[in-house]
Amino acid sequence: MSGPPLLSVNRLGVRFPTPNGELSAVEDVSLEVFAGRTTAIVGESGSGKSVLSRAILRLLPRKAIISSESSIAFDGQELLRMSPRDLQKVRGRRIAMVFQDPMTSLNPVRTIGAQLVEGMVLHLGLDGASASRRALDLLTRVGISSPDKRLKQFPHQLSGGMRQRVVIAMAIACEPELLIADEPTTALDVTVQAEILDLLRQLQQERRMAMILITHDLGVAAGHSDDIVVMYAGQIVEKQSTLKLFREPRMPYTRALLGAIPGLRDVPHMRLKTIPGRPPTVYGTGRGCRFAPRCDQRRSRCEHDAPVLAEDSAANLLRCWYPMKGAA
Amino acid sequence: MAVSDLNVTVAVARPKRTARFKRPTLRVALPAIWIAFVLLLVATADHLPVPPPAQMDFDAAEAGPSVAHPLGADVDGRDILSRLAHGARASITVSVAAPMIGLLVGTFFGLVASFYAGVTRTAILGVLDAMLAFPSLIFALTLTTVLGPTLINVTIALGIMSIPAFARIARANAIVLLNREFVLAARTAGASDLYIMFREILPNMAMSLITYALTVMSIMIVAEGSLSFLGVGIPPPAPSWGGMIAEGREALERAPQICLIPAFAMFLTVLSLNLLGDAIRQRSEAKDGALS
Amino acid sequence: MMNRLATSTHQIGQLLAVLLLVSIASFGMLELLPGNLAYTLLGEGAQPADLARVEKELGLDRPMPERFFRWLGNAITGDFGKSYTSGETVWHAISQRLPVSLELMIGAQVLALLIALPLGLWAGYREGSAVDRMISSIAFGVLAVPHFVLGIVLLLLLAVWLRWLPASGFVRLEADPIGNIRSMILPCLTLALVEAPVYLRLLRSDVASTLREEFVVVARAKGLSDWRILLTHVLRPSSFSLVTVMGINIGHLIGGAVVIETLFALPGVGRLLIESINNRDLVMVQGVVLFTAASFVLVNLLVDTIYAVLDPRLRHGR
Repeated sequence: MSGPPLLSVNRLGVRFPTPNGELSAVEDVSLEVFAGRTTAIVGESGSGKSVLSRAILRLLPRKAIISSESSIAFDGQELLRMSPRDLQKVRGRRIAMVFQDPMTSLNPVRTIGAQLVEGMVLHLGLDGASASRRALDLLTRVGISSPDKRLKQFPHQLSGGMRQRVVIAMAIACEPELLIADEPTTALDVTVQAEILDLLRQLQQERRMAMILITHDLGVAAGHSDDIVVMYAGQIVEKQSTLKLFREPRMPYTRALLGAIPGLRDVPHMRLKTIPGRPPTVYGTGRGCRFAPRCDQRRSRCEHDAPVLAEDSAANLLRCWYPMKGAA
Repeated sequence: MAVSDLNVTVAVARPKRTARFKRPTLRVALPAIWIAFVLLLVATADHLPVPPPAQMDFDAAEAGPSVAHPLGADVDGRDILSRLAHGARASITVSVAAPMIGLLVGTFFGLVASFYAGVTRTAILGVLDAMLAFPSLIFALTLTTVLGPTLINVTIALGIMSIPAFARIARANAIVLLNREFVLAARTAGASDLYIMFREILPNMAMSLITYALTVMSIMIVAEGSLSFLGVGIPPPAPSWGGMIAEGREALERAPQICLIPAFAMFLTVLSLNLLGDAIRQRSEAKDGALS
Repeated sequence: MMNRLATSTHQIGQLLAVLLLVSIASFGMLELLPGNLAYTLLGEGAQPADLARVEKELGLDRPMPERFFRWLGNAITGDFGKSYTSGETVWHAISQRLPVSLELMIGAQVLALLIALPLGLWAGYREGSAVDRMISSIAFGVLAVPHFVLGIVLLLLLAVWLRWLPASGFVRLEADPIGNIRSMILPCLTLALVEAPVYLRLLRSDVASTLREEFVVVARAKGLSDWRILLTHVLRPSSFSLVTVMGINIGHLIGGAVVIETLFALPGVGRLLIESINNRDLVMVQGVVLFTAASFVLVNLLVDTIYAVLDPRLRHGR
């Protein structure tokens, strides 16, 4: 941990009004991100990780309710209380985002070049020509061949992997200090995934960016992050450095997730271990541990007493009454 | 202690709203009331306590509302209410019958064009395109001039005008439906083309067609009004709303109500039909969303 | 490239087929008109010999198919024939009236867009809000007003009560530009108010749906302001329905807005048609109908090309 955190999320809560009541998407989430380090946020769909990532740049739909005790501090400034104009100066310039589906992230009726250049013209005050030159450099950096041709092309003329590289180029165009990547490889072929993740890591190290990597895939988190935050049903359930988490997962949920990954040394045709059931949708506040119904370690206390996020002896954060010991 | 609890019941902040019977809103009730009123006028036109529509009374020309003439009299002293009621007949007849023609004929050809490819389809679509390119009012004008300007001919002309649009809608719907699985299932079970056309496809596009029919009805009222306004619709002395508006033009400065009363009636009718069509469309769209 | 060529030939083929059908229809329909044309021209007391002579002159004694092809052949070379009643050639009559109809159409479309673009954008941007509901309701209401009623109401308001504008009387552009504009404001405004609500609703609906696309969120994440996003990212992909309907309207309007021209006594192509029908001037009617249909088809062809400009995906044959 070098120096103060670049981004500090404190007690973030996000709710959505629905016909069935208020849906609690993110509850009491606190985390810190440091320059030069990657924090992975891991969870199943519905765990609230995407809502969390969008909340940082305040990109949630208008009806979303952010609780009053929430705070998101970036470099000392409170993002949640910024004026729209100031927020626009942060977006794209100091904090950038890469989204999941490159096909829908790019406007189909505008050229790649136009979309690359608009951020630079806006934030860096460049004129068209210099911005285009810079765009060429960016495209080359992210590994796209014949960049001059690509500038004039449209998104549908590029492959999925190339499109995601373009999206990444757009994100780093203005040299942001923090990059949020929301499932950047989920929509891509497996072969391309590794390349994209490596690219992100390289860029981060080159530019000393802080990075938040959101994924449902523990494998992805394993190889590409320094710290891991595990989310379940809108809450953080475990926070550890990556190495420690994989060496000694203490949460039953994390263990179950790890157990579900098929290993090279497993017997072929063995039944995959899944976690039965599905994550709950929580209206209002829950009762008891939210993972309890699916946990094979649960005891009677878990069902009516909601565990809090607490540090254990080794300063790791867990939300569980009965954390497990030993290697997975 | 089964692990297989699929859905966790968690304490809910607010109770679920129970489904209750939806009262028809004003947006549906008011238009329906107006339409009912117009239909009432049509039905009771002959029995109203006012002079017959063609009876002129120059003493009362351009008079305002009175006991003898509840809505006043027009340029030639004819009672406006009476003419309004009788004119409603023309408007309603055309607006109901003409779309009917378009609906039946158009849907038929639209279905055929979507089922049978090749020459049939090209021919049908070609003719439909030509019909669309042909300025519709001109067509109606010419037809009524050729065949004589009677109510029936006007209805037929306008009805033919609406065929291409219905055909297109029917075809667009059919194309989507034909690719759905239930059609494949029916075919596998050995159903004939006609059966599939009428028992499987048609009921599913009924809503969309009926909604469009309501739109066409309001367009027809305006179209008939336009023809009468241009002087080529139903000839005088038979009253029609469009004709009344045209006749009222000369007295626009002195007695604007002669022109504005039928204009307002036409406006309300068109508005009501549009609102009803809109309401039906919203209902049917909501249902679809749940399925697809 | 070859793909585009093939589509174009196909489209032109369709165009010609449609035109042929239209000309057959217009020719055939007018054949049905009761009353012999020679009889109409010469009047009641005409002698059979005179009738026969005029018929021969006009070529009415030939069989119909022959007359049709002769007419079509002439039409292709630009000779639509001469009006029986006025002696004017059809072409001359149309070219005299066309500028008026064109001026009406262009003025109306420009005004309609001036109204519909900002309001439609705003309503779509603020979908569901009070502003949106108000704009949509007003548009819905205006839509329900029949166009001639709209014209009459505007006449009443602006020409009769307020006396800001002349009630009728057309002034040609070359003669007096200011007078011309003054006489065209009411007709253009009427027509604009007829079309603007439709454009507005189409744009609003498309804008609202485009705003739900992911690339809009991405644009916000880049720090672009809402207005910039609306104008540079949202407007173009949301204009398809609008352009389609505009194309259809323009195509129809080249043939003249019959009702508006009648209402405001404008010497346009629409008025020409009505007068010709009333005069049983067959040649003129046939010529005008063919001209109108041809313009409609051509304009639609143009609209198809515009699609390619708006949506690059269409350019590359996807």
